[in-house]
Amino acid sequence: MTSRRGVFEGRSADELDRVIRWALRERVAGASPSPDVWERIKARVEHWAMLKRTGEDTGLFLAFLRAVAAWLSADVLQPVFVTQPAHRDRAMTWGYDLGWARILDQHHIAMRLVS
Amino acid sequence: MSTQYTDDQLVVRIRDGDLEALGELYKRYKIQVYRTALAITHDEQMAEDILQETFLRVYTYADRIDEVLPLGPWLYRVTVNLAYSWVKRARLWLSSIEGFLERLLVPMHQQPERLAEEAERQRVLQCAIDALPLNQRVVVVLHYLEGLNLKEVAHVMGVPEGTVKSRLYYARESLRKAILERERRLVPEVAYDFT
Repeated sequence: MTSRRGVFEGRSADELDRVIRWALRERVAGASPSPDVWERIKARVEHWAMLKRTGEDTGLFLAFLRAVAAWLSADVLQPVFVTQPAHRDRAMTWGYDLGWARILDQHHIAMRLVS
Repeated sequence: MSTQYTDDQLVVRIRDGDLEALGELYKRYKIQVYRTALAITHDEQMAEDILQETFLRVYTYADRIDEVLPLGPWLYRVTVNLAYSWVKRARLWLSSIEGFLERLLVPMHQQPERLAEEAERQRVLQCAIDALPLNQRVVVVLHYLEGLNLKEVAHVMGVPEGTVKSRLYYARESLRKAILERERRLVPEVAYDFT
């Protein structure tokens, strides 16, 4: 501990300032954080980076799934629910429709005729 | 990596997830942050937790740091804000053991001859600093320990300079009273006064 004999003997405001400064310096004298702190920071940051990478990989996989879903809906579902009604009376359009989509559409037409 | 990188260059690199850049900034500022946190909290474990959290925030919020401005005040601000949270969180827990500690310290009060005079002075001052309201303690630490002027303290704390002045005034008054009280207790016939 730093020697500070006579520290209370002054009477001025400057002396009070010196006393406060001294007390605060004593409070932190020689203090330094343990090396563990940096190790903990590093571990947390690396953990976050790993989570981020995993998230990105998952994101890529989801994007792939979305692309597949979009391709499927364009090739399979769209003729049934969107394109098909506009071409309903044109027999030639059936040629490149998928079989089950045509069946669904025929079923749809049949139901309309029945109703 | 060496010290050729400026703080702002390191911040830019941290934005890209550069852990080495964060390590370099940590080396530069760990003592400043730790010392400030320790002076406010008077608790080494808490100060280390604050240090850790401060640099995790540097990493997380690197894109929000204005690299044109000096990094020091930003770090002070984060440190002070974290110290507020930590101290408030610890206060409930501390209050429960306060009674126990008081009972533990009573014999020491009753036997002052066993204490070195310097240690007693230190204890009184440290207790007086710990007893300051947190707002005043932060001002005292930033001003007296870190050497920030009132304007800089106001900037770090996000309050008007007048508020800092007022907090400093009341803090000094409290500390002055604590010192005088201690003097009167030790030597009743001598009552020094600080103007």
